[in-house]
Amino acid sequence: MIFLIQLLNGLQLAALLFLLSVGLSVVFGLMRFINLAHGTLFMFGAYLGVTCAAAFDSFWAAFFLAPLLVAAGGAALYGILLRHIRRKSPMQQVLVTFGLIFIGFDVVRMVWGRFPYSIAEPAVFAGSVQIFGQVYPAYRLFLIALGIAVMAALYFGLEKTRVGAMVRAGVDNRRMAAALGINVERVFFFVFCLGCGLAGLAGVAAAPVFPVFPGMDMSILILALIVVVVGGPGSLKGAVFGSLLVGVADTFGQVVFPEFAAATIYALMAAVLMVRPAGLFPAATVH
Amino acid sequence: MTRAPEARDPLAMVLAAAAAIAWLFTGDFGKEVLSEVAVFAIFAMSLNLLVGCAGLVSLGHAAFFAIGAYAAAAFGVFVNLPLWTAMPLAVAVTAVAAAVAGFFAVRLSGVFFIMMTLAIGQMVYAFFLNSRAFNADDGMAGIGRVDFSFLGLDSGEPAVFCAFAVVAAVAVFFLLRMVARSPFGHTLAALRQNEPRLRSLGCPVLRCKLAAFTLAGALAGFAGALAAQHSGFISPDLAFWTVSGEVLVMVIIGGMGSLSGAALGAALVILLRHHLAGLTEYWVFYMGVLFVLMVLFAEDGVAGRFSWLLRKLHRRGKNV
Amino acid sequence: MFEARGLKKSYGALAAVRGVSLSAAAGERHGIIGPNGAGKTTFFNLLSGEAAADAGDVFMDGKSLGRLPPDARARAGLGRSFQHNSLFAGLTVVENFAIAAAQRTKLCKIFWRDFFACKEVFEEALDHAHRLGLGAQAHTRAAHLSHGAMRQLEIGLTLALRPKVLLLDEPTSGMSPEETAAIKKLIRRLPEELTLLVIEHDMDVIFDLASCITVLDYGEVLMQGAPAEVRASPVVRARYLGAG
Repeated sequence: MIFLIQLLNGLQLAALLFLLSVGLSVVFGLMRFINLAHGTLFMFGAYLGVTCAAAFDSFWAAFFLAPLLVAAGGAALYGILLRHIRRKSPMQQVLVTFGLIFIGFDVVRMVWGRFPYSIAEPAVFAGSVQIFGQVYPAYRLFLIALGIAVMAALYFGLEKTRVGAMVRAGVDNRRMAAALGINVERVFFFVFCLGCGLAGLAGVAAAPVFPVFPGMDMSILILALIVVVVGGPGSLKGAVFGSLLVGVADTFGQVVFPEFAAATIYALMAAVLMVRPAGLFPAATVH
Repeated sequence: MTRAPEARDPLAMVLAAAAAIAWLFTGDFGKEVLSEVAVFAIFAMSLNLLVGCAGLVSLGHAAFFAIGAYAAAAFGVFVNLPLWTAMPLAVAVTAVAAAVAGFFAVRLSGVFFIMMTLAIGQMVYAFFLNSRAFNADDGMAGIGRVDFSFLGLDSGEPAVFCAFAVVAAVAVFFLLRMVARSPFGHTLAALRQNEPRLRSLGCPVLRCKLAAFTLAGALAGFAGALAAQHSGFISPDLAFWTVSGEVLVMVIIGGMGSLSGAALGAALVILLRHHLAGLTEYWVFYMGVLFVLMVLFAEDGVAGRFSWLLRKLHRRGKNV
Repeated sequence: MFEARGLKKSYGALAAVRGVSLSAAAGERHGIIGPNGAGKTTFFNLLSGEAAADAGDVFMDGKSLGRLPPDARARAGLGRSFQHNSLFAGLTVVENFAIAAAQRTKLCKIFWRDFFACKEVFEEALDHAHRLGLGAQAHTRAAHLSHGAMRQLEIGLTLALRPKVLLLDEPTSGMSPEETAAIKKLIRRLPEELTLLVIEHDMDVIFDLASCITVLDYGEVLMQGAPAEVRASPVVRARYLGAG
């Protein structure tokens, strides 16, 4: 039953990718703004998690504090930098966030050094669970459950609340939404901070499973970008299906064709883009 | 796109003079640095064709730099070809790779193009990192240099290889300037300004972009083939995203769309790196800050500031 | 002969064009009118390939254009101008025309000659600018032109393609009476064998120029006929011409 284990591993990666890509995707849908430093926020989530876990000697303190700190960082980033480049061309916005990757990479090295860290998983999920006769780490199941819980919360938030309706209106037609009196810029700020917080959450949640090191941002950023592109930017559905596809394909790719592990994902992306250049479930019309 | 500023290129002359002076008066280390500048100037100028002329921002250009380097090394080490043969073959291999990658990339526009090129770059990186044939993450060492013995010269001498690299950079400069000034180059510039309109005028825009992508890739491969010879060692890191980022920094610092600006950007970044690397461990940080500041406040880059200064001096000279 | 058969296009729940057919003989001057939101520009986008039709096809001289992209349609002789000016804003008038001519003559593939030394396209471009009455502004950047001159450049760019079928999307929009008169003159001087489809809000212009008129409403053909018939039709009067 190696298949089951791999499927669970794939789902676990998909859960992390979902946390990361949903913010990227919805922000892009709202403002045509892609934050390449999103992976950097993920890395900061992991490192802040490491520090909080050590300071409070508790995984859960890190689990709740790190995302808040990253969201606050995102708000500061918006206030200091991003707000002022809203009028620049999309290309310049992307390039600025690309520059932030360089800065974030070295800031991490300055503060935490170059050696890898990790966080011990919480005692509740430290053991293993038996599923269909297979032993599987409980913490990884928790990650899958976390992804599902966040997905459900976001679905509820987007479909049933006022703010969610504003976000959907903004993604659908920004000008129309603005004409209806929605402060799109404020909605954008809110979504951006939420996206940053989720990236931080993904970072701290990943820390017990993946090594925390300078450079962890890029490998996950590439996967998250692929999720956005494959799923189609702007939609929750796109982020969900994109994450599942990429997470599972990447995991099975590593088992089935270890030599071409990296290539499976890119082949998948290329195939999807050839058939549907705007992704599987595009919410926003892209020109 | 008006004719006047292109016709004379004082910056290019200043750069050529600086290279000549550096070659004459610096020691071996200076000549090694100059060789590196020349190699990266070729790399940056090739990216400028995409970013500056056609408006296609690629974050995966290092892929072709690495493919060129690996191909030159592989033809030299595995097939035992002399580098005079291996280098053109490496450029051809890179051109084919760029055409294949471009086939997927040029269909997308804007941010999607950026993401696709980023993914292409990381894919090539992962390929070299995992391929046992190319020694995976150990890379390949012992790559020779082009043979100048028919001229009685030893290319192992820094002065000889450095002169070769600088001449190659000058040749690429003239090649790319010819392309930029041609009807094809102006069509690319029009494409950057208004792609839908150009398409409605019957321009096969996808083929134009693919041609530009392939040419830029091939020249990046040429730069890679030179880089492999210069250091004698290659590793998957050549394809890593930081290399793509760095060469984009060169183009942007130099000034998008200015060919001599890209060469200047290469020189500035390389010199800055050698300088900062001695002072601080965290030069990537400073480069990031510089990059962000350039994007925010000096869209036309150092080259743009330079020509602005020249114009100002010129005007003042007239008034006196 | 230019023909559109059963073109359909929906955006989500909105059916913008629901089965429009139309044919125009060579040299015909065909006007397209209809209230705002009738699907006129979407219909043009389907003809020129800017948007892909959900159903239906376009034929030029009996040949199906199928799913050809806009550039291939342009090369087949289908030219269009845009409702909102779409120019190369950083280029001068002559350079705009020269770029257009370079596409038509395939000069755009040449990468070894100096563009500005390519006399053939620049002479043509300058000549073209004079014929369009833009001679005085030939070396002005498109971005610095007056609205009327931009509109002329917009149409002129499409004409530089030397199309067999020309689609003009509201050529006189936002123009003064004098500028409108100039555009009317320009359209009248077009080669006789050229097939023209023109969307226009100015009824004087359209009834004056067109030999046949198609009225679109809610993405459908309300009626097709000679200007006099359309003007007399009670349905069109009620729906569109209003009290006038």
